[in-house]
Amino acid sequence: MLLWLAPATHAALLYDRAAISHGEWWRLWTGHWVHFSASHLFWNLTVMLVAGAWLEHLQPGWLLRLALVVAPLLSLVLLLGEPAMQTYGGLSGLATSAVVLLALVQLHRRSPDRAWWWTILLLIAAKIGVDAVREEPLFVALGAQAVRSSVLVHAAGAAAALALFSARPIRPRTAPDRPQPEYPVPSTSTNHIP
Amino acid sequence: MKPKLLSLLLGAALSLGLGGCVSWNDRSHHEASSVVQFLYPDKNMPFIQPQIPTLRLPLRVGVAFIPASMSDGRSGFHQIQANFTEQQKTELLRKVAGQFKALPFVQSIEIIPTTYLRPGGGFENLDQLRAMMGIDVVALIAYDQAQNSSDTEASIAYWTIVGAYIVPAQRNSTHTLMEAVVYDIPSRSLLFRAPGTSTIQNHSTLFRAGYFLQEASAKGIEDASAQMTANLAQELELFKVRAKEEPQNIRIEHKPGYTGAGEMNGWLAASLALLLAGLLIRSRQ
Repeated sequence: MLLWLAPATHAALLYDRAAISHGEWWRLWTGHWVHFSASHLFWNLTVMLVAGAWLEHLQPGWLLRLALVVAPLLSLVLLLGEPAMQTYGGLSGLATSAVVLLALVQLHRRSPDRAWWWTILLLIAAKIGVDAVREEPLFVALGAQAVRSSVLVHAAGAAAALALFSARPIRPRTAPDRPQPEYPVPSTSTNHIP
Repeated sequence: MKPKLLSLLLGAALSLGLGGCVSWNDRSHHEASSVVQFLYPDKNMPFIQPQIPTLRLPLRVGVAFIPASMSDGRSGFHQIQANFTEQQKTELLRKVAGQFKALPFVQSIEIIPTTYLRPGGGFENLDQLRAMMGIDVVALIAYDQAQNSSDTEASIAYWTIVGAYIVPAQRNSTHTLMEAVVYDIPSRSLLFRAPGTSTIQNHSTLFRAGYFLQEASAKGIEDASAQMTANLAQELELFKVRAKEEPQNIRIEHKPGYTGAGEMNGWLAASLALLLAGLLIRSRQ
């Protein structure tokens, strides 16, 4: 939010291919937090806040992992997979990761709303699939900037979530029915994220 | 005998004079700049086969008026000066440039001075502009205006001399066609075109016919330009759809150096946010 409110910092924080190759490595992390317009920020942040807060509530520490590990991974994917893209900004790659991870965790915890979580996963898969097949050839206007929406970053975000989910143990539900348990849950410390 | 011959001669002279007057009152003027004459000036040259256009986004677009190649009012008749001023041309070019500026895949618009285009310059001229100004696509604006003023039956009142000043016996018509054609310079292919037309008809006295025709010329250009810019906006929208849906006809590439965005569509983000909020509320119940 602050990065959008302080546009003067954009040049120093944006994912910039040339600058990264000249050693400005922080851009691998910060580029995802730069936005080009209020609507760009609003939609990305809305999804990220809801999914991220819930994920952090269920699996403390995972949101930090997303920000620290997945963010630079997505940037590296863009470096390799989108060589013509000079600059990039936007949180949707990380937001996609957070939503997919949350859905996977909920399914693993045998949530009673499994059908809805599958719906969310299918919605994201369909969006990525349709975008990949019918890749938007034209640019879209975000504020004063003409940009091309990246499909690769969404696919990479979903893949990173799958990888993170597979690599880490999940804290199971303590009770099968509602209401949700209070945290932390002492009895399941062996499965808890360290 | 002598006075009879004199009156016959006077009568003949008067008839000839008046007859001349009648034909003298017919006026016509035609002024045009033609896309075909500009792009294909030499009929003997083989037709340039267009290729499938490859648009490298974001585009740099040039907007220019095709220079008028001729002004061919029929000799011996009074010519009506065309009222298409340089100021009007510049204003129209700005409007057309504004239409292109609204497109997110257009990087820049260059308004090309008319002096940079040679009559009959063809694609060689456009290649020069491409090299000089770095444009990929050019919108060429051509116009064609034909004006005619002819007598009606009421023109018999001209015999009274005063009638030429007070009887509106001239039928004036002005037909204007404006056209914007958009070409991809490297592939020589026409991307789309947008026409605008205007027809103005009115009656005037013989004395005021010139003034009315000049006024109609300016109005015709204004009306046709407005229609052309409206059609251009529609054609640009259609072109955006075609570019997405017909990759076999229009290839799209992205120039190195473009900006990308991690952007969720509004509908996807809203759906996800609503679903997540609903599930969160359910889990709390």
